[in-house]
Order: sequence, then C-alpha cells, then structure tokens
Amino acid sequence: MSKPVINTIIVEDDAASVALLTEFLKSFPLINIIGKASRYKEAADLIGTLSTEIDLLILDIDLEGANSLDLIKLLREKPKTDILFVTSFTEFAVKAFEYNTIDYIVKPISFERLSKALSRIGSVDESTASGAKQEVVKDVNRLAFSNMILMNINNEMKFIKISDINFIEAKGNYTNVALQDGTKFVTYGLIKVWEDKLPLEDFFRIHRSTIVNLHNVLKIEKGTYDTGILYLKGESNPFEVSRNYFSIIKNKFKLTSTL
Amino acid sequence: MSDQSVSKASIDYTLLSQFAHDTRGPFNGLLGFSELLIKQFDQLSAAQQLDYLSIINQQAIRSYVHTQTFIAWVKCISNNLKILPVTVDSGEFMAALLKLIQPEMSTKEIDLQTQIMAKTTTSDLSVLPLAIANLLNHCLKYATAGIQINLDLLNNEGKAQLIASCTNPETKAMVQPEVKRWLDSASQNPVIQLFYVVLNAHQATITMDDDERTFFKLIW
Repeated sequence: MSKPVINTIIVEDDAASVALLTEFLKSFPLINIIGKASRYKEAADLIGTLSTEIDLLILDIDLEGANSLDLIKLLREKPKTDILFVTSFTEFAVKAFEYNTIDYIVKPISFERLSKALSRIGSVDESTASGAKQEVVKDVNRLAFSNMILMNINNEMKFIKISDINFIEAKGNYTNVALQDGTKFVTYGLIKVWEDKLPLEDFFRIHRSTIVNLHNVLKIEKGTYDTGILYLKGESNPFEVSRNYFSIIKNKFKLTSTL
Repeated sequence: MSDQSVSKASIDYTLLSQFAHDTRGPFNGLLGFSELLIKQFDQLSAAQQLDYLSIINQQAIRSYVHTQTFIAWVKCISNNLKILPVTVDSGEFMAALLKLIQPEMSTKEIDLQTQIMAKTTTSDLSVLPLAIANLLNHCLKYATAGIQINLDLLNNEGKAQLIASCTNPETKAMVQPEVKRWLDSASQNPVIQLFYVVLNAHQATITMDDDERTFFKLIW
C-alpha cells in the first residue's frame, strides 16, 4: 500500500516566501508538493490540468496585481481541497473563510503558526477528510519529549514531564501511568489517546495494553511464539511484547534475526 | 474632529495599509529564514547556510528600501523632506541604485548590463536612487525571469539621462501597462507620491513610449 500523502500546491508570487514555505514544509513528511505557481494564469493552468487530487492549496491573495480568490472558483470540482491563505493582506480574512479555508496566516509566518494551521487539515469537512489528512493532524498535535502536561494525581493537579513517563498500561477505560521515579497514577481514557499523543520517536506500543518509554528499555529477550520479553529500567517485572508489535519493533529498529 | 480631518485620516490609513502590506513580504523571509538558521544551524550544510544567509540579506535590502521610502514619505507629508541635488560621481549614483534593486535582479535572475557615459550627475543620493529603485523594482516584478536588462546613464546636453530597457519587445509589452497603471495610482500609493515629489525636486521628466524595448527614460 502506498504511503498516504497530502498533495499540495503553493501559489505565491514572492520567491523568498515560496522558498520559506518549502523549507518549513519539509518537517511534515506527509506534505507532498506537487506544484508551484507564481502568477494567476500559471496557477489556473496548474489547477485546471492536474489529474491528481489536490488536498491542500496554499494561497497568497495578491498575485502580481491579480486577486487569487478567483482561483478558488476553479476548485469547485475539487471540493476536498483545503485552502490555507498565507498573505500580507489582513482585509480579506472574512471573505477567505467563505471557502474551504483551514486558516488565514498574515505574513510574516512562523513555523509554529504554520504547524497550527496544518493541524486543521481535514477539519473543515470531517466526512471528506482523507486518512492522510487525519495522519497529519495527529502528527502535528503530538506532544514533544520535552513537553509538560497537567495531570490529576490523587486529586492534585501536577505537571508531568513527558520524558519522565516510564510506561503506560491500559486498564479498560482507564490507564495506569508509571513515572521513572516510581510514582504511579490512574487516568481516565483509552491507551489509544496516549498512543496518538506521545512522541513517536520516544515511545512505542509493545502490546495492546502497554506503551513504553524507549529510552528506558534495558533489553528485549525472545519469548515463546515470536513474542518478546522487555525489561524496563526501574521495573523488576518484565513486560510481554506481543508477536505483532515485536515484529514491528524488529522492522523499525532493524533488529537482527538473532533474537 | 472635523469632516475634513476624518477624511484625511481615512486617506492616510489607506496609504499606511499599503506600506504595512509591502513591509510584511520581506519580513516573512527575514524572520523565517533566520528562524530556520537558528534552529537548524548544525544540521545545515555550509551551502545551505549560505543560501539562507543570501535570502536574509536580500530581504533585508528589500526591507531597507521600504523603510527608507516610508521615512521619506512621512517627512514629505510633514514638509520635512529636504531634497538637495548636488553634483555626484555617476558611478557612485549607479552603485547606490544597483544596491537597492539587487534582490529583485537576483530573484528574477536578470542579466543586468550597465553603461555609464556621464562622468557626473546632479542628484540627491538619499532619495533619487530610492525613487528610481522603486520604479525599477516594479518593472522587474512583471518582467520575465532570466532576461537581459540594460541600464544606461548618459549625458544629454548637460542633463542626466537614465534609460532602462530590455532586449525583448514582448517583455516591454507585458511590463509597460502594469507600470503605467501603477504610476497612475498615486492617490492610493505613497511610493508613487514620493516618486513624483523627488522627480519634481530634480526637475526630471519621464517618458515610457520611446521605443519597443525601453521601459522608461528619465531625464533630469
């Protein structure tokens, strides 16, 4: 199965702004730039002739004197296209949101502002949001390893560092959260919520009921029936790595077949 | 507040909005690429670092042009703009002008050919190159990328004559209507208001229909 991508077109007449957007978008692997245009006619031709579905149109308002809002009329046959305005004009914001607009960013644009805007991809019409769009939303909304979250621990609100989480275990509609210092507490919510929020590079699901902090993994031994036994720093009892997740771990981290 | 002052405030706001819009463009590259440099400096190759720095430099020049234009315009409407044309070396005049149009030239990969046939010119170096740069930058905005543009500074019976032309009549046909429209919109554009004030102070005249390759001819 091919990797889902967000096919994106950038319509912008300022070369430095195009270069900047291109650099910023490199941090979003699912964003696939399929075309760029700097003039109205060039953009109209591009939109009109592309056979590929356009998932995202990043649009400047003023294209060397022409108003790019007219371009949106050409998208009528492409209703799934989300539009992100990046412009120096402030006065078109209200008009812009009459369309399938996910955000209206006034220059100068920052990486954080762009990230926030991209997190809205697919949110304009949930029913038409593709899997790829939802993936981008998920990725953009992920917490960073250095982030802090506010948790209710035994009726006290406390800030927890994501990096301090050792492992998370599912208990029905609740999850047990264990910190590296041995503190354990229960939170309401499915383990899937944590899986979608925790940073992918630092946490990994090893079982339908367990997510572990990869930085604290001491070793993984081979178990029975292609399962694994994982030892985590600070925990005397090992964790079972289910067959499916063990296979994913081996592929992802390129473990050899010696296990 | 009288009706007249309300009306004046409204006009000024339109002009200020135009400046605000023009300024956001270069600041986008200036802030964005400096942010990238700060965050990713160690991961970038030397070539990438140089690319980013070049973009920052170009955007800084564009920003400088906008800011200087704005300051001159504010001085102008408050009757504080002093334009003092003096005899200057033509090479120095051309260098001041080229510095201000360098980002647009570079972005459009223009092959710029200059010719200086006048030893000196009478000019206020702080505002005349700025006014001409704004006009040239507007021409470049509509010019096709990669073309050759000639900028000739001549001496015509004691007067300076600056001719901006291209080698391709199609480019001239594309650029001229846009530039004429721009020059006709002085009431909504402070850059053009300043342009005409500076031209008047130098007793300069501009023509645009000399031949099929000349963008404009400026005589002062």
